[in-house]
Amino acid sequence: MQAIIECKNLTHYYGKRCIYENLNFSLPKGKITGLLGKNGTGKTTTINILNGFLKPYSGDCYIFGEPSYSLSPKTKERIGLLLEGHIQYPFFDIVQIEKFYASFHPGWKKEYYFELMKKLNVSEKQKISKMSCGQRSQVALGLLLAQDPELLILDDFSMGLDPGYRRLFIDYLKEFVKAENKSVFITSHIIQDMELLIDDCLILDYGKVLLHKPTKELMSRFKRYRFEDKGAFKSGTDFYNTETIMGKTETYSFLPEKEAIIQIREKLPVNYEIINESLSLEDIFIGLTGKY
Amino acid sequence: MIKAFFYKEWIKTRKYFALVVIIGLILEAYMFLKLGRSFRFAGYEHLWDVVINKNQFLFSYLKYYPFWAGLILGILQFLPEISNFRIKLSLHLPLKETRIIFYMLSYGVISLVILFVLLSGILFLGASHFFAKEIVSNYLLTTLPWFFSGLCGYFLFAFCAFEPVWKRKLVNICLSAFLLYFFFITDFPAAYEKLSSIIILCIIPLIGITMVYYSIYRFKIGVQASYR
Repeated sequence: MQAIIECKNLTHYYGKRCIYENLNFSLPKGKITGLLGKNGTGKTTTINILNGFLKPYSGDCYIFGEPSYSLSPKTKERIGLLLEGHIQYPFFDIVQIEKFYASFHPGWKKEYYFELMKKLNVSEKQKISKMSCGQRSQVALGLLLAQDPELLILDDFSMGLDPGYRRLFIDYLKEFVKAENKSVFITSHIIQDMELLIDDCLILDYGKVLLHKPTKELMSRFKRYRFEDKGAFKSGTDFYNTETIMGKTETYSFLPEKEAIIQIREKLPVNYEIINESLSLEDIFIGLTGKY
Repeated sequence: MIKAFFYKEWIKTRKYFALVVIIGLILEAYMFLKLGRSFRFAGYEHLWDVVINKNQFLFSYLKYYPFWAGLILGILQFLPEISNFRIKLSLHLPLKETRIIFYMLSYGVISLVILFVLLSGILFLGASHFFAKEIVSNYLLTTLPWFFSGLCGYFLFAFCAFEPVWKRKLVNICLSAFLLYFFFITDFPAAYEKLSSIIILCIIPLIGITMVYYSIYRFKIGVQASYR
């Protein structure tokens, strides 16, 4: 499958602090890929590098085959960008901002924008600066949909949104991607939302890519196991983030259920009861990256 | 597309910039009212003596106005762009970044030039009513560096505003203050009439433009951008 975004040996530092080293990943066309990671793992750094707002210390990053730090106007036209916090021009009202952006995009679909604006119940003369965070998010989304780009890059789309606006955002995004050749690269702090949306999951840990897998595969294979062993269990390479709190242990693994249970039993002195659980994406994220 | 950029900048600045224009007009009206009053009370002979023998410049009220006009326009235009790094939205538009900046700056330059030509025109017509041609041209030459300082203040504000590193921003502010000093060395009539002075006056705004591009370049490559 054709890669729409490709990062090769990406390394970045802020001063002496290493954000990541030799990061490699590529994103296929036509998928929604979620970039997950704890605070400070480099999600926004990655988004900035992808949009050419940050030159990496070393390595290459390509979007539609072009180096991300020097995207041509034609390529920029194919990319829709949502900045963290749904940032837009606050001095415009909802009609003025549409008029402004429409001049830059030949395939502008204003009906998409105004359909969303009708739902907001705000006056045409209302300034964006006077809108709530939720309303601003809809303005930003409407503009992105009207641009009709091939690739959407969304930095923390759920920031500051109540559940209703988050769901509205997700519903519209899903419809957008259903159209041919649309791809989305998205980050969010609220991982529950991502579960409803993303096809692929790219998880960053401090300094590296921890995992890049289809969300379905992750949700069907990654399990949590709990047992009361008073801390006797010592995890091996197949188990993630084993933690014992007040004599109760929990660990996570990609191993098939039976095999995982056999391995756990082998390491326990007594035949404790082992409970295995299917997990939400948020639990999977915590299982892979740890709570701290 | 340039129309769209001008539209954006116009929406951003129109109300406050209109206020700046009105203040400029009021300032000139006040200067001429005061001048007329002085002519009536002190007499032509006395004022001619003050102007010709004592080399006093009668429009000094105008001295810092162009600088403030340029600075205020810069603030109105670029502060919304730097707050929340909104400039990223502009730089992401499907145009070359250099062109995007050029369009934004063009709006400011055109607005300021229109304002300054208007004020200079009024100054020319008003002064021609009271003084001989030579004095009027001397007066225009005296105000020229002040009008240049307006353009320069505008560019230098952008230069400082877009700089991504705070320490460097302070250095830029000091450098800008130093460059702006050249426009206000003296208000002796036609002190800047020498060609070399005029060349320096033209070079400083050019340095200003170049430095805006430099700051944008530094912003674009994310120099020490750990805060964003």
